[in-house]
Amino acid sequence: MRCKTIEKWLSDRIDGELSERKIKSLQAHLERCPSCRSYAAALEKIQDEARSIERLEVSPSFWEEFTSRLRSDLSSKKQEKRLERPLVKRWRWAGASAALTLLIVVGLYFLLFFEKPVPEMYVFSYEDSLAQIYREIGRDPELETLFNLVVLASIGESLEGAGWQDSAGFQESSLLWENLSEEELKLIESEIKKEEKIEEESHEG
Amino acid sequence: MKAKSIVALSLGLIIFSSVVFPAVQEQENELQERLRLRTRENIVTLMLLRMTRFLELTEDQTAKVYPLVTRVEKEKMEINLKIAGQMQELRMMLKEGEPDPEALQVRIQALKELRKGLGSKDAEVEAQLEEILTVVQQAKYLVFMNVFFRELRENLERARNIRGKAAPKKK
Repeated sequence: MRCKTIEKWLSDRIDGELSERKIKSLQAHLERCPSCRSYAAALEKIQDEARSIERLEVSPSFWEEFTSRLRSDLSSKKQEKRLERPLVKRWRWAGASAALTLLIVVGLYFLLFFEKPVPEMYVFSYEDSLAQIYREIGRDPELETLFNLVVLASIGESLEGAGWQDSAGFQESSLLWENLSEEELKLIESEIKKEEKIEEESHEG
Repeated sequence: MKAKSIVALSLGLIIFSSVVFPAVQEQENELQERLRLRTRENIVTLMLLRMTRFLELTEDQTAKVYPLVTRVEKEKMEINLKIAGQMQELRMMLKEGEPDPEALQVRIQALKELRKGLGSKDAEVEAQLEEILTVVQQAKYLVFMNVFFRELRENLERARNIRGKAAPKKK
């Protein structure tokens, strides 16, 4: 058995908290171990001397005073301890709080002011307006052909308004003749014939 | 014998239509696409004519704006044709039972690149117009675009009316 255990058992025996079985084991050990025996003797001596000390009568006011003194001592010790805390340790906390604050501020900035990159918009682009026209036309070839003719008529009006029909280059204008379909050419031809007929009639008249 | 020939004829018709119908559809799509490109060309031509007057472009400005817009339009048209082709392929792939995701991804990426290409053309026109036009003309251009496309919608309405009149009356 380890002597450390025996020392504890000796203390327990004084307090009357050791079982019968353990007392027997303790006795057996003490008979074998001189070191534990001397420790037990010393303990008994201390106990005997403690018993012989006269019991002091203490007034309740003493305990009150003692408690308040103890409290004030403890609080001053705490304060001293706080002041004695290493400067580096305090700065570490300050640094951590500053970093956290910075992190929150940057996070809020990005959240509130930093917009997601949006595709660039071109104000001069007419793609959207064209797309809207196409949507309105839909997949209707007949309507689209008619619309094309109306647009062509507008081109003709525009050229007329600009006085281009009087210029020598009007009939060769690539803007007017390029990419005209057979249908459109026929329409223009019939319109020209109508105009010529009206002109002839007016001359006759 | 008679029943057999009916079944064979029906099967033949089904097979024939399954081959011919997509081909006809394809041809119609192509025609529609060409018609759309012609509409676009005419719209841009009209736009340039009206713009010249509305913005009071000088000869020098006209000499710069016309070639710029027509060249960019041609390039855009080519891109638009490619986009239409890619879209057509996408449609075909999606019609298949289980399209290959990798092949779809390739088409999507190609479409992205093509659309970026369209964007870069817009950027080019934007930058050039800012150089060619005065600030007042730039402001006029924005107002003009609004007016012009309103007029185009009116033209579309006229086309609808023409068709309405041309349609035979129901008795």
